[in-house]
Amino acid sequence: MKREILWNVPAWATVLMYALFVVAAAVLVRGIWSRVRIWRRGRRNGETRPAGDALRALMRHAVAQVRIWRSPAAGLSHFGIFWGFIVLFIGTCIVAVEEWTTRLFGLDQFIFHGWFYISVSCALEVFGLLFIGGLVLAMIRRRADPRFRPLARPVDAAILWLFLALGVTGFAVEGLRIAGAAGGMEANDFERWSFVGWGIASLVDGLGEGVLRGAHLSLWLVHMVMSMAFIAIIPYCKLRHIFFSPLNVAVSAPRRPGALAGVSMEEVEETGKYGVASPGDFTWRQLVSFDACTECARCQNACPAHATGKPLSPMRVVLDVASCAANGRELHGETIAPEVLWSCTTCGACVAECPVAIDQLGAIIDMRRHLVGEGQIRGSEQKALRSIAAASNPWGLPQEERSAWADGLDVPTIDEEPDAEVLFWVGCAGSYDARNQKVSRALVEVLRAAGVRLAVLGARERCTGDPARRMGDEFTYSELATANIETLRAAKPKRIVTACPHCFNTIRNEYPALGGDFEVVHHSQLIAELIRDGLIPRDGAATTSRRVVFHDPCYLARHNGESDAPRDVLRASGARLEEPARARENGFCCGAGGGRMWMEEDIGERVNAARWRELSVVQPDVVAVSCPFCMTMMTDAAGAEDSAVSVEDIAEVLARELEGRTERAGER
Amino acid sequence: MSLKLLVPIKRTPHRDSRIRIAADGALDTANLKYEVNPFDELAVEEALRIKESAEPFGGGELVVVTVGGEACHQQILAALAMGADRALRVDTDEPLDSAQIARCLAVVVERESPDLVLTGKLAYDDENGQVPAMLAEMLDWPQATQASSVEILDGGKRARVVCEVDSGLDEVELELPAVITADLRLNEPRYASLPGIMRAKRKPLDVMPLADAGDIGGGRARVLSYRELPPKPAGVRVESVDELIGKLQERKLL
Amino acid sequence: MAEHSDILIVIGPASSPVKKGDLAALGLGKAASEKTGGAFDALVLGPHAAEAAAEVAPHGARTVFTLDHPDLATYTAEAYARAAHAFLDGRTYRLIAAATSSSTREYLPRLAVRLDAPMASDVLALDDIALDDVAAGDGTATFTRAVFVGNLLSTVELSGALAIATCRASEFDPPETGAASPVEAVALSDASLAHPRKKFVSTSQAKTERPELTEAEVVVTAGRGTKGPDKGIPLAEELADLLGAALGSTRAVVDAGWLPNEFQVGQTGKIIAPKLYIAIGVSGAIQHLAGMRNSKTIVAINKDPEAPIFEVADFGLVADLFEAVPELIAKVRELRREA
Repeated sequence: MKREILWNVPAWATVLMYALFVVAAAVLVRGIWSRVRIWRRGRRNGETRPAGDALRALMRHAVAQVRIWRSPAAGLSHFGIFWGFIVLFIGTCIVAVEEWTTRLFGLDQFIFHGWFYISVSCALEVFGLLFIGGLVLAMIRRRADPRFRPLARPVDAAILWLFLALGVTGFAVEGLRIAGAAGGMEANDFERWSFVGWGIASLVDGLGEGVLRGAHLSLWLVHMVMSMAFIAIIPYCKLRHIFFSPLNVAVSAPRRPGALAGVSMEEVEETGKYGVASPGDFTWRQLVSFDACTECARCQNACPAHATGKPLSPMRVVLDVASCAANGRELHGETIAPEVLWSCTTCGACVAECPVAIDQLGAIIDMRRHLVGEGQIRGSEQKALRSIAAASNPWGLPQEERSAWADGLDVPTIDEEPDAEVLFWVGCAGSYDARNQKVSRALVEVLRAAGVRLAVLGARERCTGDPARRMGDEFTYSELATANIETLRAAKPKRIVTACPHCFNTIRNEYPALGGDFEVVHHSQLIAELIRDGLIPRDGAATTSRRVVFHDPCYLARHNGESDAPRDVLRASGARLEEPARARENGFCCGAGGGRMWMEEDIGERVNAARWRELSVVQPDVVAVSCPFCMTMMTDAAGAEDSAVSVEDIAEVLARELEGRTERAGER
Repeated sequence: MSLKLLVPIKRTPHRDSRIRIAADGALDTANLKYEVNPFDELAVEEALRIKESAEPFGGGELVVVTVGGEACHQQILAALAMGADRALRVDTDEPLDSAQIARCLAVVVERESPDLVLTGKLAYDDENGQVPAMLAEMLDWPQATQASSVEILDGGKRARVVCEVDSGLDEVELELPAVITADLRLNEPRYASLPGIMRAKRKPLDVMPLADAGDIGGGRARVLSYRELPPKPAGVRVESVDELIGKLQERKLL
Repeated sequence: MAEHSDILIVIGPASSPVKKGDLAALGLGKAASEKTGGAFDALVLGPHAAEAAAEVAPHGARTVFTLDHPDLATYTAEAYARAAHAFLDGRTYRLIAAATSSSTREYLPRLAVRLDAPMASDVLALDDIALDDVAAGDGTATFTRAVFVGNLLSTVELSGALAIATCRASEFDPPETGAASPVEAVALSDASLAHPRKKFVSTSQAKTERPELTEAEVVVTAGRGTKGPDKGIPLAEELADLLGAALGSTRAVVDAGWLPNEFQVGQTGKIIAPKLYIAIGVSGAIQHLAGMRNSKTIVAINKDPEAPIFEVADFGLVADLFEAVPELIAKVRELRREA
């Protein structure tokens, strides 16, 4: 049982095939080389990626492709196309190997016969169908929703049609071959295993041999030319992700989620360069990543700025950088306007969504750094930066008023109580903002109810530097971070708790790079722990009928993977917990991250209004938050809607409940 | 011809700082952060814009000058980081009065012969606002103060300035050289970032001993002491509109 | 005629009717002359000098001088400084002062250079004035000034035989009126006063009936509690117009589209410090407080007693603004009618 390789293909066609293959391969290599040359212009910053790490990442993202399955339809479609393609490609390779071995060694047959032939042929049929199925699904998806054809370019549809034509002609050629092979179908009964081809053969069986052969050769030529065209165009369109996405997954710089890449002060001093002014200022790894883009638009569809009509699309940024890198156009200005970069809330949804491990956020921050370095930061955001630098808080309020929130609470400083179990890192909002001061007080109440001995830094606490860093002012960040690390080292806290996910993220993920290793927890985590340990009584039956919907803060849920703790706290309070459409690591930003808290939002709809609408769908009594920025944004949104829904921090929800319990206990 | 711009700047406590008074009535400068006087920063920004717009007719040079001690270095760097080409510091740790500073600047102007002196309408700290006009008088130059818009005409021969005056806006035309002072609405200054400051360290900075300015006269205006404002009475809750009106009348606000 | 103990108050460019501030500066002249034991004169400059002098005359000056010149027809600092300087030729004073204005701010320093005298700007009070040695010209004058955007006071000493100052008119009162002082027109030679390189082009009055937010002495701010352009915003506007105040808003109000962006007070809007700030239905978010906390007197009307705005308010009224503001408007109107 074997098939005749290149049946019905005359020598000239075979020669044509190999000639076209050489041309296609040359075009392919040229295209890849032109990208490699671009990458080589990138910065080398000495980052390395351990091989084991790279391998694990490859398995996860390139083989298992876990991210794609975040959308089941896309996952299925890509699964079909990808695995169909891989297996068909392997099949083609086997055929080529068979042909060349037999030809070179004058063998009659090599491996492609018998049961091996039958099982490979059968597998090819299955995966061929999967390939076509995946393509059809992709086409339906594209048609169904414009979000899935973000660039709406004919070429994108054309690629799918090319693939579909490849699949269909492949089956047709097979069918014609089976029908036209010597002895007809009866003599080649084993070809039944190629069930699709067999089916097609049954349909055309009975046509004259000349017709079959003519049709076969024509379709074979079409199939072959299309295959070669496909090979040739790979590096010139989004198909390049076939090579570059796995490459990117393997070489992308490993980074703690939530941590931004640092800037070397010495390098800036030496080169006078800060941030990314032109594509060559990106690292070569970043340049590889921009070429890995599949144009799937998941980042764009998840982006709160894009969703509310801001000029930012993370995908557009990636594609623009890649095209500027190729054609030498100016990166900043017309191509990527400052408003594009300033629109980012640094929520990280793009990074979390990207199936091919592109760090859009890191690229945006790198470009923001250039703007800041050139002084191109104006208005209220400039004011906030100046205040952070000069007054150690974004509002420019006096440092000595930092403890005003605790008036009457008698919270000791860590100097007064060096043995405190936890150091409460209050944060600027918790210290100065009237609404968030109440959260600070509620947290102290809750912790004290659980018998936790806590202390604060008082006037020595400064902004962690998060807003400065995310606005692109690395130097103000590093000044603040260094000062804070020094203070914390001297204070030697056993553990740090903070109600601000931004402070939490920076201390946890970014201070280690500057030598500050401290154990820090978010207040939701500490309270959840106290509940688990029985130090805060869990309420048996729901004692409140309040419907609470929790809005996940990006810097807790997405950047730090913590979305259970706040829910545990809310459940323990006896609230009826509702989930919004987008929750946990899929949550939708409040609009205040990345320094947006201090910027005008004058383009498009307000992000907080959009989120408020989404939260309102579950008709809550309370929108619970666990971040001071979310608190401000959600409170503003509630006010703009004149909504009766209250916005409370999880600590307040619990404190209120604890108070109620004490009262009820008293009544009893 | 190329346009030469001279921008006198002053080091002032950062606008966010809470200024405290030491026991002897002097300012408590410990832990005080400083910046370029915000109005002078507007002048630097405007000078940068003028310089950029002067590209078609020969470009320009922007020189910042300050009168003060070594402590002013950081603010000079900030102005250079914004884009000034070079800097000059008249070195003195003595507290000079407005007339003395204007005299120093007049010497600098004679040395540099700029086409235009641009500076802030007043300093954020002492709020005197005398130096620019005094300098103009010493040089017998025309002046335009509290500018909200500056337009350089005839390739740098004249300037048309809109000035913010109490009654609205006055528009004047000056033949250069002249002195112009910046008001808040003139522009929005760029940010002097630390990387910019690092780059600025390579720009030329001259130090001129005060003695080189010659006789600048004795200081005849000096601050004897500072004191806090009388404490603001604590806020009170009023019970009615009538009570509110009464309170406002007490403060002569109605 | 004038002595080492005499004071000169400069008014110019004089308007008719005379600005209240210029009359208030006469109060400084009177107070200073009482300290020195001399008299005070007034010098009224500009094309309206004659009419203005008639209004100045009853306020107790020894002599009211008027001076006009073709080059004073439109105001330029250079010409006014030269005019005052020309007037002073042959006259001796201990203190020359004027009400602070955008004009005196710029021509008094020029005059100071011409007279080689020290100057104090925008003084709030004259603490002391002495002349120790007339022959040697040793003397001191000390003033109180506001510095650091009004956050601190300073005592400034000017030494020498002559001191120059501008004074903040709101801190002084015009001297009581009495018999009219003699008015004397001073003639200048025909020499040009104008600076040859400066040309006055045009002047435009502030365009709106309402003052600019950043310059207004009184600001009425509408917060989210005003509930919209068809509800509380008109109340805020009515109160603002009644008080000659600028209208402000919070970010929430701008976001809701009830008022345009330029009305926004706060960290992302305008940072202001008026004499009187009336917050209507404003909760007092930190970003708003950052824009107005330096206001001299803050009034808050809000029905939520917990609203953070009350923390910074000098006078807080916990009330429904839809009742309190109309009442306030009515009562202020009544007061105006009585006055």
